[in-house]
Amino acid sequence: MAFWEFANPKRFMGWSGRALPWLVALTVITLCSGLVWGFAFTPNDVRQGSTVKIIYLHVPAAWIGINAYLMMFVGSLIWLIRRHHVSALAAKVAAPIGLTMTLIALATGAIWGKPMWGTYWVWDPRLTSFLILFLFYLGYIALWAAIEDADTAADLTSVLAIVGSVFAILSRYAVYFWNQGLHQGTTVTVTDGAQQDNISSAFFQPLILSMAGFSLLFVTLVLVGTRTEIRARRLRVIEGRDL
Amino acid sequence: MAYGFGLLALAVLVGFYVSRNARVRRALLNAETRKT
Amino acid sequence: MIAVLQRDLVLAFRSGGGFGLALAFFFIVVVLTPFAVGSETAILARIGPGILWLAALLACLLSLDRIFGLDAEDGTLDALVTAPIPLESVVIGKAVAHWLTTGLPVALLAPLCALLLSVPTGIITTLVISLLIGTPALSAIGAFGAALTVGIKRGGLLLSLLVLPLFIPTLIFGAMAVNLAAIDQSVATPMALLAAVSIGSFGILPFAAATLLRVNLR
Repeated sequence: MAFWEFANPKRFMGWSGRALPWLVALTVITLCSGLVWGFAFTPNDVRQGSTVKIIYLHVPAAWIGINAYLMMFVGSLIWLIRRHHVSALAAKVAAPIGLTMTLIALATGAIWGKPMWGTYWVWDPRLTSFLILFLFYLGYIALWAAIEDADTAADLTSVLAIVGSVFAILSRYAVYFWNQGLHQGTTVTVTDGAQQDNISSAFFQPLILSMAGFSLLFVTLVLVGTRTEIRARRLRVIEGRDL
Repeated sequence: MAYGFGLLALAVLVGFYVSRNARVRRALLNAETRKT
Repeated sequence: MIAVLQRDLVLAFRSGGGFGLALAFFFIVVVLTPFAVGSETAILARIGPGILWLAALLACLLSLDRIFGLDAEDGTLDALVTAPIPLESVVIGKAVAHWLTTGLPVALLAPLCALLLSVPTGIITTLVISLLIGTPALSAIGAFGAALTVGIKRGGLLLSLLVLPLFIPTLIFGAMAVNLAAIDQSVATPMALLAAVSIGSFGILPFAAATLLRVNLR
């Protein structure tokens, strides 16, 4: 039971408030060092030139884009089962972060792909899956915004997040199947260029740093946002008005 | 260039969360002091 | 469940009941297509199957808010939720009624529309079968979406935003079945996947939808 006490709003405000300064500092350090190191201090790739440096944004953003939805799935489950308000609010707050990350992944993926593909957009299975994920985020956020009663909103969006997760996974496989089906017999194979296995260690370390930075950023923003939501609720109770 | 867009998006995201937090915090403080 | 189904069917067939609406919409989209892409037979034949699937999708979308909306307005939904029958079976009954009045008619009208789009006659059977197998999923998913938005005023647009991404797997498998048939490839895999999605949707989503209805009618 001790773990669940952390989910109590008052206690949440307590420990998150204490943790936040450290988290912010850590986030800034890892994120900045990862991005600056990656961008300024790594050599250009033999084949792709300097455009490969986009992976320091693209890969972490994509990573968070997916994991944010996973966190929303878990948060939604916890809300439905244990009715911890903090959990529902955390999921609510994670969505715009996930949305932005997905958007960054899409934009950087497209820009990275242009030299290879010749166009800004290709219905590459990875990009397409992220586009679908983007729509899922959009719907979830729109649903939260459309419902006035907080608990009803939490319930509905939680079910949506859970069903959405199932369909997100199903869609991912459907998209890969779709991509193969249409390209039977085609000679042009579209690779997404994220040859992570072949990245030499010169690239690898700043990438790890960037990913850590993005992850810390995610946690920090979720904590900040959840605190905002808790305060907003208190405000609504006091004043009977929305913020 | 793409870097710029990505960093801008991050900055907007962080700015949004931080400013909203500050705004709500201030409003709550006002409301609570007004109550007492 | 049968009673609910019968009732919804009767309501749909009455004037203003929405039965013809989905069918008419499906037909109109087909008619609009050549104006958008040109009347060249080769092009129409190539995109025809996909367009038909898209049109079917959109047609099914149209009547979704009717699934629960009408009953919510006059209080019938409250009665259904509190009645001693399982709410899940109410949802299933309504979803089946929706399919019988949109998915099934669209699948039956599809051959005619396929001719309009110069789709090779050899694959029309595959098209109809894919629609018959796939459109139930759309009804089940649609019922889920309708339950989600039943309490929201003017929730139609939000309903579309929520439901259309969920339609994507069905669309992929359905359209792929017909497109593969067009190039003489085996359609077994997409058809099987299509069936799996339909069966899975009807198996799981009514439970989720029932939960949503209870939440919305608290």
